[in-house]
Amino acid sequence: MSATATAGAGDHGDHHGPIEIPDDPQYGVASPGKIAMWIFLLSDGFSFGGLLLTYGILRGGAKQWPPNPELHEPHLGINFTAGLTFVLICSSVTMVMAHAAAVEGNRKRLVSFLALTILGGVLFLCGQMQEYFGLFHFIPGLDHGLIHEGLHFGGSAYANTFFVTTSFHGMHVFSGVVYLTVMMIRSMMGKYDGGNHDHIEILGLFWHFVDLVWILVFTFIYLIP
Amino acid sequence: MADKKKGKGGDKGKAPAAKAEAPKAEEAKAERVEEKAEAESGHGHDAHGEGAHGAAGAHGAHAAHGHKPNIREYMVIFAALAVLTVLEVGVAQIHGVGKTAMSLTLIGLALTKAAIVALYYMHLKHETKVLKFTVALPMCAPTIYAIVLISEAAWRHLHG
Repeated sequence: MSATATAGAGDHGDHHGPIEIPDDPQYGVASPGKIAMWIFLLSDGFSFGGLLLTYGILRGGAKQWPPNPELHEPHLGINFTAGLTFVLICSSVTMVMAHAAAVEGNRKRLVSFLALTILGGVLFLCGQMQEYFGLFHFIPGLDHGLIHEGLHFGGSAYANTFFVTTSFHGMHVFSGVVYLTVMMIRSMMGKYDGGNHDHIEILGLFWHFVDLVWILVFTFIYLIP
Repeated sequence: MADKKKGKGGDKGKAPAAKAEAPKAEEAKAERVEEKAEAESGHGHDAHGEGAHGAAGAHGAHAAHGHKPNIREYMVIFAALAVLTVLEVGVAQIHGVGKTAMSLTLIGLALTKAAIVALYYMHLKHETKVLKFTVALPMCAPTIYAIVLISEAAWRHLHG
């Protein structure tokens, strides 16, 4: 067992087949990378926690929300964003399918599902651009963006908490798309063949976390009356 | 089920006495080998062709680590997430419900969704107890802060 473990550690990236992780009494066979990703996600969770807390405290202490009715700030559209939420959920499904393909050692399926996941992320980012700036307002059914309608960063606690929280999340989607793209290219090169799925699972952890956070952001920022 | 076995293994490992640890770790390994046998059926994974189960202790562990993805379960979770999202959007548009009741319902639905993503899509359900706690316990801190600080802000607003 130790021999395979050493071999696995030696050429981590190019290893074909599953990499052996010695059984740990506490963490089982979770790879160091996986544990590290979980700890990173915890810290990231605290960052989002801080932003949502700020929002909650400002909102909880305000007489009404938006707090400055004289500014005539637009209300956030729920239906369009619900669509974006659904897109992210779908991309989470394609991500787990990509991981399942990696476990099976099916490179073609792995690459296709990663591509679909990237598509979901890109669609989400386009949706967020539309929401902010109205980039696609020439498409029937889509309005001008929130900025056009008078929601300005720096304008009020309402505008600030909205832009900071959602753009911080958008930044995560963007880094997720970059991460996914890098991993898709590596998958095409055959780095994750033969059931070597650990790095794909770690990628999945990040991507699902981005989805998980959006579920909370969507509820707190958009849905709560 | 499988994860319970594994949880037990992780738990036992917590015993500080090194003497007691070794046989228990072995036991945990043996349990995972069983899981591997389950996972192996109907699974054309070439790495699994590696001889007797006894010798494949590490492999068994690996199969547990990978926890053979269950596509049907993934689809059920997807349906649940979709239904919960529709439900949330529906609830948010009901008129004549108290703000507090609606907010609590929405937060409940969102936390349920977040929990099933973490448990099933992030495979937390299949990790050891220690890793589950490593993730879950620290996240209690922002939750407690939220409850305390938001109620404090709301209280000040009502009474200040």
